[in-house]
Amino acid sequence: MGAEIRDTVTKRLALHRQYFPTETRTAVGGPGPRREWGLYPGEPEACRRQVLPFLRSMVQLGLLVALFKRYQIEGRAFLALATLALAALPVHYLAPYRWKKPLFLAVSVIGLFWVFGNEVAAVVLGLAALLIGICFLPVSWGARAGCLAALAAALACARSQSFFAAVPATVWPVIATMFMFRLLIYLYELKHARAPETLIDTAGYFFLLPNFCFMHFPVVDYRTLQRGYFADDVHAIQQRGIQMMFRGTVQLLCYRLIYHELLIPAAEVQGPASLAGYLVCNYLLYLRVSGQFHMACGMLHLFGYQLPETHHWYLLATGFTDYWRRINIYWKDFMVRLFFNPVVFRLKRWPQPAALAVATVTVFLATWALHAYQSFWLRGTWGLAVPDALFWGVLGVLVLVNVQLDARRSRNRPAARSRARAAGAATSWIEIRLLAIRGFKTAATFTTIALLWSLWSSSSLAAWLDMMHRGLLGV
Amino acid sequence: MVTNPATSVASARLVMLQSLLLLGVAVVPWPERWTGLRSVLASARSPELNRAEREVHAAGYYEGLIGGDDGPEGARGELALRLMGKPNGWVRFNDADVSRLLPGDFLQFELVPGVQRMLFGQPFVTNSHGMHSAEVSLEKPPGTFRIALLGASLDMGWGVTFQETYSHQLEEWLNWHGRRRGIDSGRRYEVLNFAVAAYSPLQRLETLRRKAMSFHPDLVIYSATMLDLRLMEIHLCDALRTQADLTYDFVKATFDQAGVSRDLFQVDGAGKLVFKDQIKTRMRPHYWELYDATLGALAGTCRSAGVPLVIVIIPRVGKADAPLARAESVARLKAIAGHHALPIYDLSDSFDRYDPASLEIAAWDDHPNALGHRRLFLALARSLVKDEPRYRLLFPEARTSNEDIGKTVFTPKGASSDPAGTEVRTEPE
Repeated sequence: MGAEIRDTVTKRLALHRQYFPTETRTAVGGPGPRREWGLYPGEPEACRRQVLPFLRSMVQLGLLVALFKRYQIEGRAFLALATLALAALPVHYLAPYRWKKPLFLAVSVIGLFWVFGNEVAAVVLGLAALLIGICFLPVSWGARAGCLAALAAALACARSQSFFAAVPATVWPVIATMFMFRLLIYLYELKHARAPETLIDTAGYFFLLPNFCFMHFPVVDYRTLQRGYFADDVHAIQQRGIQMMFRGTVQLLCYRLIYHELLIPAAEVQGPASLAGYLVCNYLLYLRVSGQFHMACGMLHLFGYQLPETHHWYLLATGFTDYWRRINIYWKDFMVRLFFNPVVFRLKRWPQPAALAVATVTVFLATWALHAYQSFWLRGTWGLAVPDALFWGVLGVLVLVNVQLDARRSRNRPAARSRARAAGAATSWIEIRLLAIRGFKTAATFTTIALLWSLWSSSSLAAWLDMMHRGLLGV
Repeated sequence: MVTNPATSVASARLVMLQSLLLLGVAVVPWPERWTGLRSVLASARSPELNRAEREVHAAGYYEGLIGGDDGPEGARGELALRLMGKPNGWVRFNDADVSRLLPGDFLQFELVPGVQRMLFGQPFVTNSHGMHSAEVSLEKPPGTFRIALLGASLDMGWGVTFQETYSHQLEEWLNWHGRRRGIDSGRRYEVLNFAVAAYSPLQRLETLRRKAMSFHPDLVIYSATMLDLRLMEIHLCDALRTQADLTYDFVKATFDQAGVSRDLFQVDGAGKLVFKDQIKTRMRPHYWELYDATLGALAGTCRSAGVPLVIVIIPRVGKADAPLARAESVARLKAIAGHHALPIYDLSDSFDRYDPASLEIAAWDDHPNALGHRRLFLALARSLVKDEPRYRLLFPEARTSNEDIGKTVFTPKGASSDPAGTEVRTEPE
């Protein structure tokens, strides 16, 4: 959302446009008889195998797995999948390029069986085959989307009414985490893609190995995943993945320290100091989400899927649109593609501020509804409550105001720039002033978000007001 | 093409170095006196729920989402347990089909007699009286000294066989100790394990009166845990929900004192307490008083029957009962014991020096495993030996002072062919 109204000079490309497709990369060793060292005939250069860089990646990954085991990071399911990734990586690395995607899919399915057992995995596989099969039906896009919507509604009813008592309860969150958002993105792609998608790409998109230990999973974009596949030298991609995983490890360890050592129950807030401590620690629990997302995307990198970062210094956001752009970047892009851009496009004849306002409101309403939808599939309850509505409502209003201000600022920016140039503005005191303003904005944004987060975490508005009363007045 | 951050050999080395550093910090055996650092490291390694979440699910949208479906209050959901590594067939006590409900009864539930089930790959057996222990007769055989143990799951033994429970090991040791020390008066010792998982202090009191006293015990051991207030809350809410008679006047008086009138006892169509949260909020400040009254009633029952009573404090494995976390509860329990002039053995530090992973039955279940029960038994046996009045009650023939006995029994490097003795002696001083 924010990216689309920023200064065009610094404009960032949408995630799905960040990488060239593999076909445009230099392919060496064509179908001729000569085979280049490290490459099978016809393979892209990015796939070239080299002993030392790969061994380095393996040693680093081995060290990380030892860390996971020693610190018991994220339970045994994660450890099992990390170990599986470590074991499968050499095979995947050495396999010919055309076998890599099927191999990754096979490893993911093995991971599914390993973590959830035969019964759950078999039901998940069956349901997944049904959902994917509908996507490939030789009927119109509308008919396929309608079938999928009807099936999803039937499954939701079946789940909530316990029609399928024989189906293990674990099946629902597992199938949901694979399909609840990615299927929307995939349908969007089906509608707009010029060529039909292959079965292996489709299956690989839904069966992502780390998804089977992280139920709350980043909303990976289909096109980004496909375009990022071997979009750079494989060792560079693996290195980025390992760095991501290490960052995730550190964040998960920080989360545990906060969770066990610093966080107090809301009921024990008494006075401004404990309130401040609670607000900060409660907000920082989000480190678990960002840590898991880094870990998940890092693991995908190991198998050649280059993906953008999921979070970008979100604690240092200087405003609410900036915050929205930095925290859960995949979600923001998901919203931009499916809601913001279509609404703005449809309202292109309206004045820009009005179109932006309507699109922003749409995004936040969708975000609220989809968080409830996610809660239903993963937890079994919609979780709709007053604090929830207030959280998304207030955040939406704050972002809406910020979007309008940003849009106005971006229109006035050229004039301001020329004035600044005329005044020879690059003096140090101005830099200090700008730094101070930035610091103030960061602190204000952090405080507001921490406050909102505490509201979101409260069981009711009354409980939150009671906590604030105790915190501010110390009674 | 927009590129990702550049990678280099230097950055790869940095990640490797940082990983090694973190690994080193976790592997180094830090001195025991560095409690702060050890606590931080234990937190970094702990996959357990924190205090706030054990008491209530209160950590927000994402915390619940990551764990999947909601579990019972203060516990993880099924999906979260599965992700932690819980295999098929691992069940909670309520789902294990080893207990039966007693609707409308203050006791609420009890172990089913004569159970023979495989749980977690091990036999779970109850005797004809519904105890997780070997068969015993109601009538006390002549020359037998009986000890009744009242407690919850930590004492009942969950995820271990009854032979591995600390109470069973205590029985074996008592029978062996007199002979070995030459103070055998021909007595046999029986430790009757009346503990049932999730029993609150009030249910333990009820068990003593209704069941244990009919076995004519010569000593009662009451096990207290740091979870007791929570168990009391759950038990009282269940008793109100099932409209059971509250049985004890002091319980009814506590409800009155807390301002919980009968109007708040309403149950909805689904059988749930309508004003559960209000009841919990109002009762919460009164639980320690209620605990005090419960132990008072327990002590009174024992005194009127002429049976000595000992309190032991049993810890859970892991951070939940780490020294700082348990300090207040332990102090309060000691104060209550002092109030009723009852001897108390604080065994709460039994697990402090050990890696929780080596003592708990699984990463997702903090009940002590066989080794954990061994630690509890050793700590309890040592406490009994050091407590001269209780020791002489157990072994009237004993002549040695308790200090000498302690040194003799627990000398680390002894020589005996008795397997139990060997194990006791391997325990460090």
